[in-house]
Amino acid sequence: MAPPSAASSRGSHASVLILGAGFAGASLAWALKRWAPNLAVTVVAAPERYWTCPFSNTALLAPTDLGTLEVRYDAFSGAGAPTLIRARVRAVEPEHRALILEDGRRLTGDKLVLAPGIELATEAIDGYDDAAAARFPHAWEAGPESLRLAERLRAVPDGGLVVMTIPPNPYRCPPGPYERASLLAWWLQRHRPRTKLLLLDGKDRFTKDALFKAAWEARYPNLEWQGLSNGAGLRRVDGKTGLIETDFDRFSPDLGNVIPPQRAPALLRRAGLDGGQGWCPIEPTGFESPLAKDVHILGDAAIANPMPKSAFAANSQGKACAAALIADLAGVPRPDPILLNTCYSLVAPDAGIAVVGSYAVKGGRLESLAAGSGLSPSPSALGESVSTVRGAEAAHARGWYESIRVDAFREGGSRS
Amino acid sequence: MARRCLPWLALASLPLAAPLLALEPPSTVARWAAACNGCHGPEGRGSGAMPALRGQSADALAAKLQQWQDDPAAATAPGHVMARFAAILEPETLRALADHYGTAP
Repeated sequence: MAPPSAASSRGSHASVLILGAGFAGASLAWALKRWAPNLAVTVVAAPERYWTCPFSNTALLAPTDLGTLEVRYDAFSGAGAPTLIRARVRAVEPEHRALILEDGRRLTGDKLVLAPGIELATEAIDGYDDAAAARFPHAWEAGPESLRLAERLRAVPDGGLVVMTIPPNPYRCPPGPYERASLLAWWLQRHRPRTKLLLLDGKDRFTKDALFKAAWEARYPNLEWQGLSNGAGLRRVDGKTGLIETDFDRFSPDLGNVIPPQRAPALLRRAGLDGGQGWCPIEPTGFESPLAKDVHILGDAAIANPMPKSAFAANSQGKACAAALIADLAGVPRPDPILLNTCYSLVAPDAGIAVVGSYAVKGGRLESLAAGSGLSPSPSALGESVSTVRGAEAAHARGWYESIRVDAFREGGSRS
Repeated sequence: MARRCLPWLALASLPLAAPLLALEPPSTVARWAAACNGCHGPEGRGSGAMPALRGQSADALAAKLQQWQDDPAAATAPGHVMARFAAILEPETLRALADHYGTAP
């Protein structure tokens, strides 16, 4: 497979080089091949195995399901498909729209798109070292970490204490910690009925908080949430003694799930693409970096608020960016981007809630469209139909996952 | 997918090996359909509880979208998600999407 040429050929001979084959990078690659089949599209992704973060909280309840979350990339690199190169990247050269691979190869494209996801900012937590990482599995990247957390959960004695620490905004999957808490509480209720789950949150408000809190109150007397104003801000962890220390208190839980703060990966920050902010700014019509022409940044690494760092948003951004790249390469104005989000969360295996967002560019900034945004109805609005409606949304959450797996990666989602 | 129609003379003058299609951004309805497929699956074929759009009648799809648009407050979950997305569809996009997925009556 030939790497994209460095020539500044435009139009139908043009090339797009993409870093990352998660929801953003893969969705972009397939949208480009669909809308501009002659475009040379090359995706560089790490050689490690990849499991989707969506639905990885359910693997804590049923670890044997983790295999269904693995993306195998079978459809890439065939005729009419984007070319996939599995390799580690040593450096990004924004001024040359180039990626330098660890084996020394240098790839360039007429457009360079960076969609590398997140990096855990563990040094932001005092005392966080290898011992802490082992003692308090974060499982914020799905895979072996999920299995470690599931295993540790099963070792918690009845009458014990489980603590989750949740970072301040922004981080990948804003409702993820609260879905995880719900499912952990559900599991504990059935298997360790006298064990308490304590959430120590680095903020006072969170996405869908009224819906989550109503579900917790109705279902989980074993779950307690403390916000920043309650003194729950994380101060220090000690992996050797198992201590978790907050502004006001100290805990020695039987299981600690410490979710570290996050930022854009070092590869992008070393290239100056975060402008010193930790996350990368973009202009919203085509997700182009204001710091580097013809370099676009998608997904979790980008500052795209009010869009959340979600798989749905990444998929939506991939498609919007595809249309913008084609317009740029054709030398015509970019269309107004269609940017949408839905985050489904399970509050129990058979009960779901959702937040919906629609976005438009106004005055050069992304804004939420009020008419196109909202939440699942509250329990008081639903009355007796609450369990039917929550059940329907849980089924839709699973249907969404099946669909987006195929949409983003063009492979069959194998969840049963 | 919209494609630019080249005049016959220009087409005839192209060498055989050259790509016949110029780059052209996808149409509004193509971009909206791509958005719909994020939940409803490739070509709107549906998955599990997520309904298939392909195979429904175009008029029924348009009527459903219109109903959500007219009265979003009446949509309870899981319909509330679609009520929000329907709310931001222009009338001509709504009809074009229904025709894109739907079957003729």
